[in-house]
Amino acid sequence: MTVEKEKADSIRENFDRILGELSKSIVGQTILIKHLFICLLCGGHALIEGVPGLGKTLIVKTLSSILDLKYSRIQFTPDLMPADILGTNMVSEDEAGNRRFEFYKGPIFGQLILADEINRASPKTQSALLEAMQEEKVTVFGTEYSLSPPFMVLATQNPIEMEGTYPLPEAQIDRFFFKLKIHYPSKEHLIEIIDKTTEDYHPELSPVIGADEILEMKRVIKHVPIATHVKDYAIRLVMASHPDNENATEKIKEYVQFGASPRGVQSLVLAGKVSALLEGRFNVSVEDIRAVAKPALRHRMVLNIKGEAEGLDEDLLVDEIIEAQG
Amino acid sequence: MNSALTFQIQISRIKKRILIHTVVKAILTGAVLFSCFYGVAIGIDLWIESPVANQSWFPKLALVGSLGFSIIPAFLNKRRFLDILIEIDHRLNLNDSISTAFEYRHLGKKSEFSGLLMDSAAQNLSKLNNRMLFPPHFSWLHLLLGVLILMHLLIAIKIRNPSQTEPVVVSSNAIRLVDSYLHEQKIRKKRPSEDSESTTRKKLYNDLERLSENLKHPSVSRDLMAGSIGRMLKEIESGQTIAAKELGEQLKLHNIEEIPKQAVQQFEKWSLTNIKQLQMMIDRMFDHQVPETISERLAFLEEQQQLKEVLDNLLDDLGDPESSGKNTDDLNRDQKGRRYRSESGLKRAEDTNQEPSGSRALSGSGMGDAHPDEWGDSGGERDRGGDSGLGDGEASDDAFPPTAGKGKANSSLKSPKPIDAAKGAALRDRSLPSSKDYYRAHIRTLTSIGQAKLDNKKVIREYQKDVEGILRKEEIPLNYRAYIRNYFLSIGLRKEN
Repeated sequence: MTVEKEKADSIRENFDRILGELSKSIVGQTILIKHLFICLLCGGHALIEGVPGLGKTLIVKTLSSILDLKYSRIQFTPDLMPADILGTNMVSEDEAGNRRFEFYKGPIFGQLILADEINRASPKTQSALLEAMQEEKVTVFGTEYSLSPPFMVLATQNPIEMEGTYPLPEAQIDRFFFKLKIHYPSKEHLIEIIDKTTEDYHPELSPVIGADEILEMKRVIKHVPIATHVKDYAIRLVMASHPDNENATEKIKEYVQFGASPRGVQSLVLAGKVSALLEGRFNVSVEDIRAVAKPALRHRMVLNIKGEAEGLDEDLLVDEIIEAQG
Repeated sequence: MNSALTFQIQISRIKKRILIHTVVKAILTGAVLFSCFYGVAIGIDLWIESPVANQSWFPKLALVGSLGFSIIPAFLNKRRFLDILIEIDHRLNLNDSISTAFEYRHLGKKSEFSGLLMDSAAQNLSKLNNRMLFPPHFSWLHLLLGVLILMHLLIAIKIRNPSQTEPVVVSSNAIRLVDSYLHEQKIRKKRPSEDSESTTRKKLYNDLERLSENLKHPSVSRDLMAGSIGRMLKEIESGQTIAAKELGEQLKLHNIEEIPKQAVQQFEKWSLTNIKQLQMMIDRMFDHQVPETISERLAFLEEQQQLKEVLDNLLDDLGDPESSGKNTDDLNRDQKGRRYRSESGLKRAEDTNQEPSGSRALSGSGMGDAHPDEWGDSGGERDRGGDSGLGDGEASDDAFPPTAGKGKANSSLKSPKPIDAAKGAALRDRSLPSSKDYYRAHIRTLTSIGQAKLDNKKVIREYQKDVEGILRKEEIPLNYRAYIRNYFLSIGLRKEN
């Protein structure tokens, strides 16, 4: 029992260490960092959305520094091609003068991928990530290439600059474990940002955890007990996001075209498990499910034209579902 | 002690509390139901005057019913234990630790963290006392039970008169009457011919035995006893009605039409004397060879009538405030006793204007009277008051009575015009023998008694048939029927003697 406790404690300690290292260059955003950590341990990918200048890219870059993982950054632009992400076969010549095709791995062959401004690339390019995100492998010219675990894609997007952007297709969005929203910092945080960025401040970041530790933590979290009624609760939340469900609220029926997919339930339960361990408990509670409901469900509810036209915030819908389900 | 064991101990503690709560709730529900049953029974007792609540079987039945209706549903509808744990988790913000730990232990689910979880859950539970686990809350059952108890107290104190529950004091004469009747019945029972007595008889006999016990060891209230006697009287009457109907049918089978159907139908209003007179009359009609079926029914009717009079006397005794030495409250109960009696059709002298139609019908056969108990006694008395009665010689010769020998004539039965009387002075039939005081027929013959040489039986039969045929055809006015009947009966009596 001591071993299990140590494992559970190590997860919490690792998070604290990550948080401590990140706070050297990131001010505030504790919830965002926690959700990123949850995402990492669950083997998921995160879509970070926020207006420019809030530190989306900085957070991911800093995270890559403290995680001893192979980091790749892909700046998505309209002219970016799938091969630019996945890699391509190129003709190479050996010493004997023989020519042959050799595969040059693209930036996707990293462990922590920053897909910056993902919505600026064309859907064709965005789709290049689909296989990698879901199956942790890519297929190029009929040859499969496995990606090294842990594999995590952290994509960012700007919600206000819609010109020249391509909204992510539903299939792509659904593959993101969490959609995280980055908010404006508070006054106190802004003061701290000023202090850290306008002065001669160069924090030294050191790697906190490596791939092996992350993989072990991923294994451990799957053993966190969850009661049937808590699973039922997660299912009820997802079912209630469907407009044709009897438990759907009036707003869901009015503004939602499609509800959350089964990936939504998986996200809720897995994230709930990590959340429980981070809270020092050994079982998932309904509160844990509630705590991760917004990042897990908000991007999985597809609004209809009316909802889009009214600019409805999905978080309000999730709040309503939680309230309705008790 | 390992975590699983500690957790199990805590779970057992919760289960024990739940069991106690369930039992308490069941008992509470049972008490409410029991109170409701009793309330309804008291209501029936008060308003319908059927003493259910004081019956010996009622408390047992109510108790079994209440417990059955409370315990069985309480255990059938018992909440799932896991649901109770979930509720405790949510109420006490335990983050579903207890319910999850229980589920993993109960279902044998494996997890690396299940041991840690049970340990954590056991620690959480050990910090909670029973009051925290099951906080007291407002219960409608408690309130309802309180209201019911209060209601019962009010009924006991205010509504119900305490004196009504006092044991009744009955005179020794009444007890003796009942005992002697029972003794007589016991002797009769031994007769082989009466082994197959009817259920009604047996039931009445049993009821009477119980009543006798109650009289000797008074533990029941006057009202209850009066009610019980009233019920017995009703049973007797219903038995009598059936027997009388059967008797009528039997008489009809033997071509005896003298006993009017109406009289037989209202037999319950007859007195013992009436029955004995009827027996004598039937005996005469059959020349002392009454068929067994008829004689059995007559005996049954007599026996029932005897019992009825015993009970009636007892009812009088119960209703007599002086005999029981009670105050004015008892007078009310006396009236209540009379009500039981009047309900059972036993109105007597206090209601002389409502003469039972059965006796009225028979009065036409020469035994008319002012009261069923006093057949033939008061004809002259009535005649003194008017010209409509056929008196005992004191009545005026100028007029014929509408009903012969009847104590009180029914004016509706009067002839529209006076009937011509026989020429000459009315003769008193002094040859009419009557060893008994209660039978005195006063007959006026149409002609003076002649020197008949023919066998009068033949003559009578012939006339009788003709007259009965006319009666059946209803060619004779109603007023004449009794007159004609009296005539023939008087001849019959004289011949017999």
